[in-house]
Amino acid sequence: MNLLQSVIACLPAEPGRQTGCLNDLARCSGHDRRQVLRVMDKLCREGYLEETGDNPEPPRYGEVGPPRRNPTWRVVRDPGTRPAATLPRKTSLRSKLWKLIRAKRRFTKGDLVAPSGASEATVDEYVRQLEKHGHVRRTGRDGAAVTYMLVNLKQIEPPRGLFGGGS
Amino acid sequence: MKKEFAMTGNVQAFLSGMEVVATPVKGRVGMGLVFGEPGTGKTEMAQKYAADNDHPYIRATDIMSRRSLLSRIVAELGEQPEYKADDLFNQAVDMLIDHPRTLIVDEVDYLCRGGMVEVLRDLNDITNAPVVMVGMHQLDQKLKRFRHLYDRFSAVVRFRPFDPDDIASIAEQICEAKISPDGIKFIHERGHGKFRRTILWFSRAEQLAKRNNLEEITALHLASVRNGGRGGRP
Repeated sequence: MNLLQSVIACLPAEPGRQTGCLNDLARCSGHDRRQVLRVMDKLCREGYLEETGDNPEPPRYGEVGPPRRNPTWRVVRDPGTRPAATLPRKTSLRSKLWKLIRAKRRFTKGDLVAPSGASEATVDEYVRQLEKHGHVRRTGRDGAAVTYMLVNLKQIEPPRGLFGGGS
Repeated sequence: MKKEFAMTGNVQAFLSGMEVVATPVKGRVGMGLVFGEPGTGKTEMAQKYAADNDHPYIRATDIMSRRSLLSRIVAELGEQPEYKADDLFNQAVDMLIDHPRTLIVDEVDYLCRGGMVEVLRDLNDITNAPVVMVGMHQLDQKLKRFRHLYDRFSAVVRFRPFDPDDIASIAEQICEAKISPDGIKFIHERGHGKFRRTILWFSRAEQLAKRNNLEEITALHLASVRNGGRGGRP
């Protein structure tokens, strides 16, 4: 369970109910106060919670600085219904190759075969399509191998439509 | 040369280090430090690990500022970066809270000047997302100056130059020519245990074996390559 999920698990579901204070939530979720506060701020911004009050803790003996925040919140919408922002796992061979190309920037086809685990034919075809569509260009030779360079460094996502379909 | 990723002792240490980093201790996920001599395969391994697990890989550069570092991180996480450094930081925090992914930052040596590494510590502190720093052989010394940061490393992996046993094992995995024990010793001496140089010698051994129909490559054969094919003592 990650930070966000463990904090949401400690919150009441019914709208209108008060949550525990920050210290209680930190204890319940098993995470740091600062991390929990960030998550609560995020949920407030998204409209799931509303801050209702603050009961600051005075500095402990020997500590200096302002009192620590210790707010409480009210549930506006059930945080459990928050859609889990699912990022599609990009573990396909082509996305792996694209990621390696982005990391290396200048590469030969041979540089991609061993770390990706793809066959030489797959790498060859993928690089050829990338070159055809202008995503990489030839820069010279490294011994017998042709070196390529990534053209657009700002393109993060793997290019689509290289093989006629959506991939 | 066989196009396989060789399982060396360094690679195994890296993978077990990554497991330690990803395992929370009392709810907190730590940070990882990977450093070592140049040419020992750190960057290759980090890039492979990032590509295999879909983690963001960021290579720091000499001219990088805090803003450009954050901008690269946000872009790698998959969003259009904001303009202001403060907005960028909040954007990165929001994204890492939503999808905690291991941030792999290479050439961290460049970020030691002016304490830019503290940005990475802040991200780890606030979002509980693992951060792995990869850098050159004195990176641990440089980072020891930042005591709050150094305390957070739950795994420190040092990439060491290969010993002859490692080289023999790599040769078995990826070299298509058979190399005799004295040949392995020769490669170890000439390659200084560095991955890049070792691979170069493997490739020379393969060429020699192919051109001369040799079953086994010895130190003498390799020494002749070194002397431009004129022969000579190892």
